[in-house]
Amino acid sequence: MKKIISCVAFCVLVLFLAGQFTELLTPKSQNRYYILEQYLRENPKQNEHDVQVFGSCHSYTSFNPMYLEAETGVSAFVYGNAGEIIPTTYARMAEQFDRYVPKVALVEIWGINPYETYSTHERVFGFYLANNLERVTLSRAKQEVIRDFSHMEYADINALSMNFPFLNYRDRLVDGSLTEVDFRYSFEGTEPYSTNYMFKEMTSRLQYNGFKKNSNKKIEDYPDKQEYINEGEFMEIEPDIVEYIQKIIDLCREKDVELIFYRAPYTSKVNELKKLNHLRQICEYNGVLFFDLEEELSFNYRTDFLDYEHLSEIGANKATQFLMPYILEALGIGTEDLKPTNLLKNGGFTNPENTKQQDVYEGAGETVDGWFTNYSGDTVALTPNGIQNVNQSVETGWHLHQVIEDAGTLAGESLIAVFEITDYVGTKLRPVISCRDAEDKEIWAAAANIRDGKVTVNCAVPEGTQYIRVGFFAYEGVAAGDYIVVKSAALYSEATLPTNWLENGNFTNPENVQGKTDYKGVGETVDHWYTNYKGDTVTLTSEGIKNVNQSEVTGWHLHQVIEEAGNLVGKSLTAVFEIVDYGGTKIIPVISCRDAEDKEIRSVSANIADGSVTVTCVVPEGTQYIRVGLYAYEEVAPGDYVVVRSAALYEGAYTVETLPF
Amino acid sequence: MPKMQKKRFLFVLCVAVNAAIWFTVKVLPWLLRLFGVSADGADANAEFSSGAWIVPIGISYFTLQAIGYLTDVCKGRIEPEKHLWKYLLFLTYFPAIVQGPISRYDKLMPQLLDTKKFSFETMRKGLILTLFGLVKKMVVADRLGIFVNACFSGYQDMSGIVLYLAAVSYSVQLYMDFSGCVDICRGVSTLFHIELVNNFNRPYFATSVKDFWAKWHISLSSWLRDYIYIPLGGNRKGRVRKYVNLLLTFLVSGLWHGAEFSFFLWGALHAVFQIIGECTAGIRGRIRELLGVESGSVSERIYQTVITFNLVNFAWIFFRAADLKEGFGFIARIFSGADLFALTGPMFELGVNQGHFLVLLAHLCIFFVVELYTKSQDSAVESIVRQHLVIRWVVYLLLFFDICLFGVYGSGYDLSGFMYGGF
Repeated sequence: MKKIISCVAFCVLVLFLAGQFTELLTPKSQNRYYILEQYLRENPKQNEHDVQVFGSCHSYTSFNPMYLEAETGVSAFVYGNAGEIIPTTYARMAEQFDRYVPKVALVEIWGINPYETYSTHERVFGFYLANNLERVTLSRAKQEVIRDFSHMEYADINALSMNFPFLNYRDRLVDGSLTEVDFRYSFEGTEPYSTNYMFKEMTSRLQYNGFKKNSNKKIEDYPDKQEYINEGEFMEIEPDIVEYIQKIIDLCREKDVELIFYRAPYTSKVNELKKLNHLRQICEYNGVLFFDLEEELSFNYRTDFLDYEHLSEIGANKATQFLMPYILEALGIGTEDLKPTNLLKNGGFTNPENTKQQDVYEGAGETVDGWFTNYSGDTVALTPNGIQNVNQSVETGWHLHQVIEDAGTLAGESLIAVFEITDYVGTKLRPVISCRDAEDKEIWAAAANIRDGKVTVNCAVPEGTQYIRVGFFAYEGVAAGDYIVVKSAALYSEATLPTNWLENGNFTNPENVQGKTDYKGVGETVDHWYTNYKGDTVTLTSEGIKNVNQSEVTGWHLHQVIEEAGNLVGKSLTAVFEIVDYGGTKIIPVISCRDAEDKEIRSVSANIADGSVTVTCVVPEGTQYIRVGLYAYEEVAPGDYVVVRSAALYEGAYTVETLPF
Repeated sequence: MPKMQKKRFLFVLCVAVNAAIWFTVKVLPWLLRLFGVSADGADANAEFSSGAWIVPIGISYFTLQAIGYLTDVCKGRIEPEKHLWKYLLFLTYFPAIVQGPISRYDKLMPQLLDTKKFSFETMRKGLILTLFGLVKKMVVADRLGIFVNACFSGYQDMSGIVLYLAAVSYSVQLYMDFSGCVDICRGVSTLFHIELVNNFNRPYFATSVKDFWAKWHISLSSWLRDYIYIPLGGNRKGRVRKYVNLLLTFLVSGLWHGAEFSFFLWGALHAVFQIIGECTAGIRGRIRELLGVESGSVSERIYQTVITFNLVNFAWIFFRAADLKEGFGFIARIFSGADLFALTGPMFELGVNQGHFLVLLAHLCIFFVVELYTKSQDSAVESIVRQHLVIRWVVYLLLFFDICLFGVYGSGYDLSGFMYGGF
């Protein structure tokens, strides 16, 4: 017995040492899978997403989890890898499901075509298969793939080298390529030292839950490159691949995971398209959803692609948007449960519901559905930029509003109206929330000054309110020819909006205990907002807070610190800055996550621009403080400045377009 | 026909049948190629190239075992085996079939039929021997082989000193490869409680070519001695006849290794070295006296070892060369110059980089020390088996991960078979 125990102990020791050698010898920055795995090890929460996406490089360029989360609040992660074929995807799904069983799994299906696609057979089997499979944890699924594909031409895989990958990399011990990083590797810790493009790509991807944010490029001849269309012709997928499609279906069935197969657009061989019809048949037989996004959606090859094979962020958002309702349905929730409720109807003025079907409305009465004018001076027209109201009178007022009936239930709530103003002339028109009693007499009104861009109006609804009018009103000092163009209007109950973690972010009327309008050098300015450098000169203006740099040497900035940010770890945060004006381009909006010693562990920034700028950051483990603000560190020049109207920090990931308010 | 004559006739017939089978598959293709003869008039060279002619695995070995068995039965040294399967078991005992060692019936058969009892200690011994063999083969021999192959295939453009290093490397490679294989065979056999003859006894420490053959491929050299040299008359029929017998024996040895002139020359060289050695023994003794070197002293042994190694090393060049032309060309090139700088830079681009050379050097140093300070490798193995568990585990792990980390296998390397497996 003693001898048997010592034999077992010896085997365990051998396995342990093999594991250590693997950790040491694997080239850290040249295997996407290794980087992903290491990231997941260091951020185990990232395994626990209810929506998990698998597949090849097309998965992480066609599905944007940040967009999904911003739109629905549902978090997702793309675990796909370049050149990943369906058998590997199966092994990878089995591995991931062992860590956390999601509610929905999406499988992008480029990998059903390992034998014939735009990438060579040699590349798919000779490089990608081994690279992707070797890091998958020892499992039955992995052994099945090794057994079934090790005999393939070019397939450089076998049970030994796939289960003990250090055997593949052993020459690193003697070829001088081992570095210090190999001995103390961590995803976060290695980032500054790696110059490999793959590491950079993954670092970027992992900031966005596995999504590779591609900028769009104009693909002039995509229709020519995509010379085939799916005309329903049938071709059988190779049996060994069919076997693994079925295994994926069975795995999801066994784990009670809703499965969705989808194809992202890429220039395909004709046989790839023919095989889609076989896949469709398999999916129909098994009651699994399958979407060929190229068929379902009209992609714009001038904006939606990075190249002939991969989507840009715009294209990915489009694809994600399409898949969204199916995901929500699979999750058993409706979109409206997750988005803040817009109390206004028909507030999208670029394409409003328009029962009367008129392009121009004159005088008092209903215009597009739900929107009214009250005066003879109103002339309302529909334009591509929104609804336009032109005043024709020098005496009467002019306006455009919607009435919320039965508003009694809103008494005591705080409302926020958000108007997107495209253009205007004349300053007497004001966005208004008007609370009225049962006799339609105004008992409280909140208004804001008119300006371009998003204008918000905050209003606490008083008791006794029965009706609420929301809209634009001009009563006095009106001039003929004054006009306004509105792109959208919305009204939210503040309770339904995501939490704003920043204090005192409205800089047109900030809380300002110190009472000064000018602040110089280091210290607190308006309440909760700080500068750190002697070069900072902060002034309050009617348009917002202005920070002018006075130094050639030091940086300049304006920030707020969120204390006790530990409970935000793992969450996505989006900072939104409304920039009125700026000079000098070195100032950037930043979210800086810091540990207990106030040392920065993750910093995300965006380029400065006029209008609303967003920065989205997933808060890393170890975060205790978060600084949010505008920073300039290098190449600063005296006179550089920025004027900020407002700043906010919301839970969730949003872009300017997807911000719900 | 009298009984003795009948017996003798049967013996000759059986030996002839065995030899004929071996001759047909190993020598006949070479002869046909040599004389340009082809059955159907096609390109004879192509038809009888090694790839076109199916050779039964291990035929050279079981032919020798069979002839040895027949001789021993004929001479009455052993009783004939009447059970066909038992005889076949002896002839085709699997660990030794590819590369030997060539076993004698009276030594192997009783062990094959013995009742075995499992023992952890025996298992340990077997595993260590196997691991030793794998280290020799995969870590040392095959890595050296990369360098050697590169040098032999492109010797025309290489410096003499690099080629000399390649020749030495080949000597080491051959020893490590062959003895590694035998270690594996013996290790596997030990797991079954079967002890095979140790084929090597520190051959490169030999002080003469004759001594070398007492230490190298012992099972073959003793077979040649017992079944060729002695039956030819050995040293019992005068000095000239002795030399002729020696020459004939080594020519047979050359032929057994391969039907090529280069193998004949290799065999002949070994015979000639021994003949010259014997002829000059007196002169060398007088020179030693004149120089005041004590017989059997350390310095004399070192001198003899170095000279012997170089003679053997010289002969191995013909053994490795594809033909005589390549062998002579290689040797001529060795004497073309001794550019020491050639041992740097480009030499490390022949498939074995500096790191791997260092690893090789470290291994060779360890093997050198082990061979120098132990009576035999077996005693080293015995010593390890007796150590405390912790030390044993450390040795096992070192050997195991040595193979895993530094072995030649897997992607990027061509698999190489055992060198003696080709004979």
